[in-house]
Amino acid sequence: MTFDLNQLVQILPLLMLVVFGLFLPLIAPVLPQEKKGFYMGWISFVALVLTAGVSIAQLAAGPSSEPIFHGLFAMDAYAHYFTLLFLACAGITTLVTTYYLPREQMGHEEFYALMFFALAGMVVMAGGTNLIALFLGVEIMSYAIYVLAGFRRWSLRSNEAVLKYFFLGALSSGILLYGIALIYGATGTVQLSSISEWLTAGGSAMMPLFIVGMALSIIGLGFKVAAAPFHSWTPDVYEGAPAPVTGFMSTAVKAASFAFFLRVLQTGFMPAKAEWVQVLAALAILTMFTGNILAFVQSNIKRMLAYSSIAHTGYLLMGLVALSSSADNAVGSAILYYLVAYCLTNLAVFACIAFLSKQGEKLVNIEDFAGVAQKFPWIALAMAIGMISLIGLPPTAGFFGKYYLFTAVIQQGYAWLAIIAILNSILSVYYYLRVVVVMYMKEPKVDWSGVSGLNLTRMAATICVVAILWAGIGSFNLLAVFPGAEPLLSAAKSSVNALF
Amino acid sequence: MSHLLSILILLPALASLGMLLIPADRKPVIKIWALGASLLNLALGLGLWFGFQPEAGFQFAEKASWLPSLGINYHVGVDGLSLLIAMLTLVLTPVAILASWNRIQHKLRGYYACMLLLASGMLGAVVARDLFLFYVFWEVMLLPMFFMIGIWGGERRVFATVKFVVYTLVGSLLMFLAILYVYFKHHALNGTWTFDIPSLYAMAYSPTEMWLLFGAFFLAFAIKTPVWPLHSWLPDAYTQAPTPATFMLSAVMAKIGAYGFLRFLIPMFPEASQTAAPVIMGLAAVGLIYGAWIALVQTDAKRLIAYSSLSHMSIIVLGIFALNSFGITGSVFYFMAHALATGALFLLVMMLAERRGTSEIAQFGGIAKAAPFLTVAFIFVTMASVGLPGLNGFIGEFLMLMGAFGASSFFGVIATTGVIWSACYMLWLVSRVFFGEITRPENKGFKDLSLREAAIILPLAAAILWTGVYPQSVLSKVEPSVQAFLQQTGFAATQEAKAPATPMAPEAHEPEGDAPAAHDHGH
Amino acid sequence: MEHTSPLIGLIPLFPLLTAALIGLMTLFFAHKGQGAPKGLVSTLAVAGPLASFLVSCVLFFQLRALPEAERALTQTVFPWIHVGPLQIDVSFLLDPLSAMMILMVTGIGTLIHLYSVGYMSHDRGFSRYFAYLNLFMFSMLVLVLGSSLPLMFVGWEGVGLCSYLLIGFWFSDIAKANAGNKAFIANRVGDFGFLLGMFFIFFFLLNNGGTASLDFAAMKGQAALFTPFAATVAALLLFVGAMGKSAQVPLHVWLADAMAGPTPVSALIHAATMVTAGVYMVARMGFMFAISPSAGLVVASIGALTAIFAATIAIAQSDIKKVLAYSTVSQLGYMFIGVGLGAYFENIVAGAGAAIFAVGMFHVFTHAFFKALLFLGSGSVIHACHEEQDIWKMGGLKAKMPITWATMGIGTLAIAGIPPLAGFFSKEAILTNAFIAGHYQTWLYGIYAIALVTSGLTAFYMFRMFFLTFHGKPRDQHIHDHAHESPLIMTFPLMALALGTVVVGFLNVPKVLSFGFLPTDLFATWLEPSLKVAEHGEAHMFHPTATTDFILMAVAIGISLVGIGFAYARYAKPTPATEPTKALWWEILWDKYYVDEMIQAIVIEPILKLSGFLRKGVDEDGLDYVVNNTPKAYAGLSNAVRVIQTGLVRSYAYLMVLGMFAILLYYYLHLAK
Repeated sequence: MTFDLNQLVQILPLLMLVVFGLFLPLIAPVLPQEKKGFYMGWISFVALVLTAGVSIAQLAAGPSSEPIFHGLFAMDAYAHYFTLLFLACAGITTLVTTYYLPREQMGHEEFYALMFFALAGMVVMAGGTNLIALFLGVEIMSYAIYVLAGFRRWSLRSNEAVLKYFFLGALSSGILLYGIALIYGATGTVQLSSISEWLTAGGSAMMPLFIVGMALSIIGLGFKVAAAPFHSWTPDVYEGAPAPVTGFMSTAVKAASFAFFLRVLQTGFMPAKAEWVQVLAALAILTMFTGNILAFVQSNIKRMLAYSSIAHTGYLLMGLVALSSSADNAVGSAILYYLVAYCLTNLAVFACIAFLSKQGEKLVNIEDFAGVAQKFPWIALAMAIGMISLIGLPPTAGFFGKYYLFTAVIQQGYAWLAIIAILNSILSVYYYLRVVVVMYMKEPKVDWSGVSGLNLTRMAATICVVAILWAGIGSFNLLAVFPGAEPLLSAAKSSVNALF
Repeated sequence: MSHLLSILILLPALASLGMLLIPADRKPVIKIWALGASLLNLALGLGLWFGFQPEAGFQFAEKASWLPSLGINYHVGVDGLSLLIAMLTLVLTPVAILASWNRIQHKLRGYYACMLLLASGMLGAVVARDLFLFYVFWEVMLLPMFFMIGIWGGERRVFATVKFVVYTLVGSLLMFLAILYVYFKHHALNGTWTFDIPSLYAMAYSPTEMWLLFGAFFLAFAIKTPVWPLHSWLPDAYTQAPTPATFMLSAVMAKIGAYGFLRFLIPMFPEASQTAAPVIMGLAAVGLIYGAWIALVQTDAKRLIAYSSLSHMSIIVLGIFALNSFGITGSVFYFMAHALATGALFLLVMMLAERRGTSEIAQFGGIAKAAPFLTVAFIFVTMASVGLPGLNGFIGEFLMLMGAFGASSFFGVIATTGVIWSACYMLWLVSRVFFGEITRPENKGFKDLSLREAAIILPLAAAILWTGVYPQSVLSKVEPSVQAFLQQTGFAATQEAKAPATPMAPEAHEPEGDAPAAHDHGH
Repeated sequence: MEHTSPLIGLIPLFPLLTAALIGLMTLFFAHKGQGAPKGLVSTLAVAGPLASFLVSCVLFFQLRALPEAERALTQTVFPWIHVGPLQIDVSFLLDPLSAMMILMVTGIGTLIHLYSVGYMSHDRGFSRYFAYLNLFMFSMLVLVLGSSLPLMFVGWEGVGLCSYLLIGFWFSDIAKANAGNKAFIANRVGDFGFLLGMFFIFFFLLNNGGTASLDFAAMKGQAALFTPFAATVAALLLFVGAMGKSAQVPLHVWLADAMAGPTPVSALIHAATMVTAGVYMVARMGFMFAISPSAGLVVASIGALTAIFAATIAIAQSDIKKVLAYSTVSQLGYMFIGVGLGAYFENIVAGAGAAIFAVGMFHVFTHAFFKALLFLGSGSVIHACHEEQDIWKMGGLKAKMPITWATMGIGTLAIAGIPPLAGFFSKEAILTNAFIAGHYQTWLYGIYAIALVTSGLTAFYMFRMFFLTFHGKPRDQHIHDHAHESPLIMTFPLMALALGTVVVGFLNVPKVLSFGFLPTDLFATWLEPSLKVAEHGEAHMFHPTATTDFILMAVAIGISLVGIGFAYARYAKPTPATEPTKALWWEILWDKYYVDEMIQAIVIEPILKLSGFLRKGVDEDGLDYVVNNTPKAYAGLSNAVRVIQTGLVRSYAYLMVLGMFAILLYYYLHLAK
């Protein structure tokens, strides 16, 4: 394998992200001070769109799933699928932050720069075919996210949160890295494909060592995707971080972690499925219950959503459990679809929260949203649809994601797991509905004077809602912008097939 | 291939979207828009009724692939089992809107939008021929109801609506999983992914599978209907909801629950249904007495009707699980009869309550003197609800009880006591509200029916009388489908053996004579 | 061969039309806040039944023109309920039995409508009253003409509704309204049996290779299929219905309260027509009762029990209408003795039943005349005494209202069974047959004895009522002063009915009394085609000798005279003897054997208590409590688990490491294997 320019072309989206990340702070000074936030937002948005355009073009041209850079990385359909998802998340977040950052008097340059670096890290996580590369991706992403999470520097809660996040993150990274080391020690390679060959070859006396390493890396990843019992950081960080960042974390970051997780399990550890399936199943069940049980009594909506995201992690882990080596299984694509549905929904919800929480995020208790429907019917509707999608009721993407995921799981013979999952979503009904009830059926308590014409945020919410509904019921591309359920499914399927 | 059904489903939904364009303060425009839309839908819907060919099975069918890769189709059609409920939706929506005219004073747009959306959802759920499509509509029709109860309801509306929705969802989410399992099972057996309802009928399951799936489906429908003891959402929802919503809830939505038994549960799991039938009939019998007796001691008129509704729905379940043509035809007929009678009762109670700000029985008395028309209307509907021959309630009850008796004389006898209880609580209600001297000064000068109110009740009363005097106009549309249903589920076969078509028999030309299902007929 | 006639439908149609018209007028004028024009209303009201009466006469003669074996006219109007083998049409059957009934119903009905025009003339609800009354006529005619049990049931419940509406006619008085409820519910208890009877017959035929049908002709045609047991079940279930409608013990409780309605209503519905529907039904289904060895005897026994039971109660009542009400109950008992024995005889001697069924129906027929007469008379009295109904406040009215006195006198003599009035013949026939029954089963002499005693009691309390009302000194001068004879429109029906009371008895003269020139058993012969069950030519059954017959008559008349004599001795004096109100037996009779109280205590109270418990204990504190507290439990769990969320980074770290070791431990154990 030799280096050639073509390889650089293949990773063009990644490069673009890095370049934009470096370049954005530089142009900041030349922008008019008062409207800087606005311009920065738009510029980064355009940058994201450009990157997405390139990615789409490459995807259309038929990406090669050949690993490049000595097998470090593969910009295959799978990587592209996730890249686009990350970009979408970032785009929505940007629309929100153009309003949000100025309101909270936060620096813009660093913010967007960091977001781009995080994205770069995510792309590596999605495309890495080598444990080291993947680990690098995790770290690149994480550092950026640490900073973003603590972006409200003057807020103690924010600082505390980011500190916890950082310590525990460091701990988990350590565990992950140690796991990788053990795997290397056992197999003599960090190349996923070679690991799977080593396993199919029947491993060797080193098998126990490998298993321990695998266990540790699963634990490390468990932290990143916030699986119980490695979830504890989530609520505090989600609460402490600025709403748009929380939105970004709960979507893009989670998606990236799952991209990593899925690829490793599918292309690396699959031959040893017998060794990890029970553990993942246990984690899945534990995670579902932890999320759904704890979410019930949360008064702060961001904490509630933190637990809800834990619960959804549980459902996704159930999907991972059902993964199998046969290419025809729908589980992988189901997970990919579910991630999209989940990301869209959460982005919508967090956009609404960013919109409603007044300057300094004063209004983040569910009770504060009493009577929102009267003051901001549109936002309330968006939020309500979001909640319905999180419950998984038709006609939303959430419902379709559940449908697709559960069928796949049943098909793989894990009906019992699906039953547990459905019982969990019954548990979840109550706390999701509570938000709707409060918004629609209670009289306003707080004054919304601070909140006013924030069209971009409203637009962000709107885009998400349309996407949610369309991905839920549509069967064709709407205005060639929103892929309906059908195209999205096929995309997910072809992307997953890149792994086989 | 006519697009009538799709139009009927879509029109209200689109109308409710169009509503958002009307400025919120133009209240009359909003009302008229809603009423107009529903009336237009009804006008179109008449084509459904008059175009319906009793013997033709499913008709007005429409099929379009929706998510082909998953075998999910947009497939709709009506047969004799669904026709009545579909018509009810079309006919009663304008009535409900008219009933809301003065009752709803704030947030009109949202309210009427919900009302129209509800119509779409319910119609869709009834005519769906694709299980996935059905489930989508089944859940979709829940949401408008959730908002109607929660926003425009009474004192404890939030409590009531959350209870209602969560309770219902417990059932329907489990059913959702069961649906997925059936779908997967069909693939496992036949290698094709499909949600087409008939092809999912009577598949081979292991006993465990069968009972779990049966349980999941049963639970969902039993909660919606409701079957005792899964009814405890009902009194709260029925009393807290704005009465027009209660009207739709009791008149149509509950029927869709019972319809689920016929369309899905029994054909999908015939043997399980047959085995479980005695148990379910037992629950229904209990519910029948239970609801009636509790209605007997209610102090609030609306709550009383709510419990009477529980009692009546129990008879329907009893009729369905009699699994013979009398019981099932009767139940389907009673969908309509009960919808009209109980619906009208709820509306009349609302009219009483609007005049006095309460539906507590003790607040009334001697109303007949002040409001003769209201009284006549109420007594008329009461008679329909207690099953007086000549009004449609009797036809349904007679057939259902007969069917129940044929299936199990024991439950038949228990259920037939219902004719006594219903008379007790209804007549007692009437005499407490309308007869005697006017004792309370507030009731002096009690307003009689207004023209609008009369316009609400008259069509219902007319339908009650017509379908009671000439029930064949409805039965002839329903019965062939019921016979087909029995054929297809194989219950008719067991009956044929018992009823040899003797030459004297007037129905000798019908190969499938019926009789109580073979398994238990108790003489 | 089958004969049809398009006219039959007209008979119920006319009253239906007039009822509808009057009803609409009532509502229309109520809307304008006034009463409907009385003239028009009364015309329509009387025209309806009158028209039906005329049509009935026409059809009667058409029917007579037919050869006896083919005396049945049918008309199918439209299909009603067709579900599988269940094929019910709205179709009418006019055979001798229903012909006799419709003549009676429309004839007497017309007279009573006429009477009502006068009686109700001052009532605010004038037009409403006639709407109900015509609706009743319609229902009653459907009941009688219906060609199948379900259609009969339509009329059956229809008359129940009208009775409910008319009992509670003056609804401002809650007691009256509740009397209506009581009537309706008591009837519903009966209907419960009726429905089950229909179901049972239907499914029995269906499951035993017959043509499942509830059509009278079809059922009769397949009577052979019924085992005695099945027939007993079916017959008794149907009889429960009859007990409700015809106020037999213990379902008699509603009839006395039903007197809350206007008096003409009591005359028409609660004496002449509706309450006899039960007897009619038993006669109609006679073939079914006849198959069963016991059903007939049950019917007869219940009848006998009711007869004596009600007669004793009547002795102590002081409300003129209550006395008549209980006498009605008692007479209904007689009728059931008649039809019950009919079934019994048919069962033991095939072909013997028809004549005795006819005896029961004959008492229905005669009773309709004299009881209607008596009620209308009492109405006239009440009218005269300004709604006073207590006979102890009356007295000496003979002079004031001679026509009423005379006509009521005839009625009273008739019910007392004094020849040659109608009551004598019908009652005599029943007694004789009861005596004959005794020949077959000795204990049946008991029924004869009871019937005999009852007739004595009847004579006594009827004349008690009569004397207290018309004879002696006025006991309430004020009432007496204002009393006056009723107008012609009310007295004419009285006279007409009195005439009937005198003559109709001769329609069924027993052979022994023909004296060579009187035509005998006309009535029985007429009804035979409808009532005969088996083709067994002349039934050879035991019949007493002429002398025995005369002795029986003498005894019966003697007992009645004794009763009258007692009444005369006690109550005909200027100041009648006071009642032994202190005596216990009197208390018991006065309080109607406490049946109402018993039902209240044994049935109603427990049900209400249980319902209350179901509502509070089971529904609210049970099921609902569980449902409502599930979220609480959930929240509790949630709070319990919450402790792991300390907010301290070290505890989070511990948790992570703990989890890590748990997983590693799992693998350790896993690999150790």
